[in-house]
Amino acid sequence: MGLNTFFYTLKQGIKNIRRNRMFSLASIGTITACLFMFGIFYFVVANFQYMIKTAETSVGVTVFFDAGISEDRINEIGDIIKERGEVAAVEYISAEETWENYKEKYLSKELADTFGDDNPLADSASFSVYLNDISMQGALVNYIKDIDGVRQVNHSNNVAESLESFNALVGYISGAIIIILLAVAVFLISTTVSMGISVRKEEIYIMKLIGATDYFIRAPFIVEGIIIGIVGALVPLIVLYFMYHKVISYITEKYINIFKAFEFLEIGEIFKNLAPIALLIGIGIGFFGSYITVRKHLKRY
Amino acid sequence: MANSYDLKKALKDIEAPVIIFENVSKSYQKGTPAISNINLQIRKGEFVFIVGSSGSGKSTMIKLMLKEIEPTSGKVFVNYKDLSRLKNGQVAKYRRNIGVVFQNFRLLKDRNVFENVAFAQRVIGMPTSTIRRQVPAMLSVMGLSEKLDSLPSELSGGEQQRVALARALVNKPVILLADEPTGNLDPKNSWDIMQLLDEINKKGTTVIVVTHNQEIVNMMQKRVITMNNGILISDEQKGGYTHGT
Ligand SMILES: Nc1ncnc2c1ncn2[C@@H]1O[C@H](COP(=O)(O)OP(=O)(O)OP(=O)(O)O)[C@@H](O)[C@H]1O
Ligand SMILES: [Mg+2]
Repeated sequence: MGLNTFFYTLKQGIKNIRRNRMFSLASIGTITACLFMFGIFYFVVANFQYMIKTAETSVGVTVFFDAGISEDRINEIGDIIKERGEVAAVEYISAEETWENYKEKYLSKELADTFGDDNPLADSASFSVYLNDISMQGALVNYIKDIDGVRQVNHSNNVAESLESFNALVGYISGAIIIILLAVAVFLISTTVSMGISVRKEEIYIMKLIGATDYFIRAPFIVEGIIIGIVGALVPLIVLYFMYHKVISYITEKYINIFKAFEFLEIGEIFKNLAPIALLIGIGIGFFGSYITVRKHLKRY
Repeated sequence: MANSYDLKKALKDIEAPVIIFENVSKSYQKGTPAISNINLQIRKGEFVFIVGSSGSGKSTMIKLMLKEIEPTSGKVFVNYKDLSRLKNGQVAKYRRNIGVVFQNFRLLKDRNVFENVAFAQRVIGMPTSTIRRQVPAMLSVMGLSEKLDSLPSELSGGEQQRVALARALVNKPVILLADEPTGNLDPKNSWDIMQLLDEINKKGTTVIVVTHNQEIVNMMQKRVITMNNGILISDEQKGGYTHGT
């Protein structure tokens, strides 16, 4: 396609939109609503995923040993645990280290000194086990429990796991709503374009008789759909961009207890993915909606 | 493929007919055919009138040549092509060599004179610079230089006719099909248009004109094909308007 034809097509596409303002606006509005919701859900999902990731590296499984266990056996247990695929790292913490940590955290200097060189936590040497797949935590805990020489296995109360299942739920619900909205958007674009075609029937007929290719005739309508899609994607992106910061600070203020442990994603980090995805979806439905309509209404000859 | 190209060139060189109707019939619905069993040859560079009473099948013949409709039986060849064998993708390209003035002008009502003519060039992807040069030149030939910005509704019938003609000619077609180009013009305007068509013909374009204008046909002394009830009843070189109406 030459540059002249390109600009001509673009101009005609915009003209189609302006002629058919009501339906174009309705189409843009639906895509906007759709992608706005998508953006919100994306915020939630992306942040939860981020939180889970942070949780995965900080929350671990702690393994304690039978009293009087030998150092060799401890090493053996360490090796057995390391063999598991979901284990990212195993860290040995000696009874002395645990005691030091405990003193530092919970006891005043004077109180600590009364213990002298005694270690009341003599049997509290442990392994901290870090997972690379939080969903395997339950299975791992059961596995470690059965190892000879293991007295007790502590693990975090599955915050990460419940986050993950919540995340999946959010994903399913948003997916369903977005698919419904997408269908409505395609329908509206299709209606918009077919109205444009019926208004221009005579023109299209003349174009054909003086040698316009099908491609030349169809292109403005496809462009119309794509422009609607792009505008329908840009509007929610811009709104979401300015909303994001406000929403985050609102959430952290209101629900500070739940969320203070977690960090939120940077806005740039979110839009790096969200912007191209939203634009692609917008362009995709714009193209799809107009393409099927043009195919249906503009018979070839 | 090389063979068929050579054949085409050879056909052109011996001035084979640029339009051939071979036993062509066309029925729109069940009922009497609009045209039946037409056999006809038109050579490159000819000027041909098609005359005959209303409903005798003249426009049907024009539409067949443009491949706007398909014959019910028989074959139409135009510009050394068998139109029944043109593929979908080739039809547009074929039509670019044919200029056409429709019976009811078929101008775009929402575009000005310049755009109506430019349209024909945009459709075939002409650069804007060419359009800016050739469209005003063509409109000036038609005496419409003052009307570039007018909408068709602001023009007289004769002016609209000339815009339609400008659109048909701006791409320098090999063949010009004009369906009643002087339909509702006064004698002076009709005569001017015919002189224009004659000039175009002298420059090499094959011109086929459907008309009811008896006087002009008689004066121009060109080939005249007369239709009656879908049948070709006479075909005379330097003929006159003798039958029908
Ligand atoms: N689209 C159509 N559907 C059905 N019948 C048609 C159609 N077009 C033309 N006809 C019929 O075919 C016959 C020939 O029509 P055509 O338009 O070729 O006549 P014409 O010679 O051009 O007439 P005029 O001088 O009035 O323009 C007529 O009887 C007409 O009613
Ligand atoms: Mg007619």
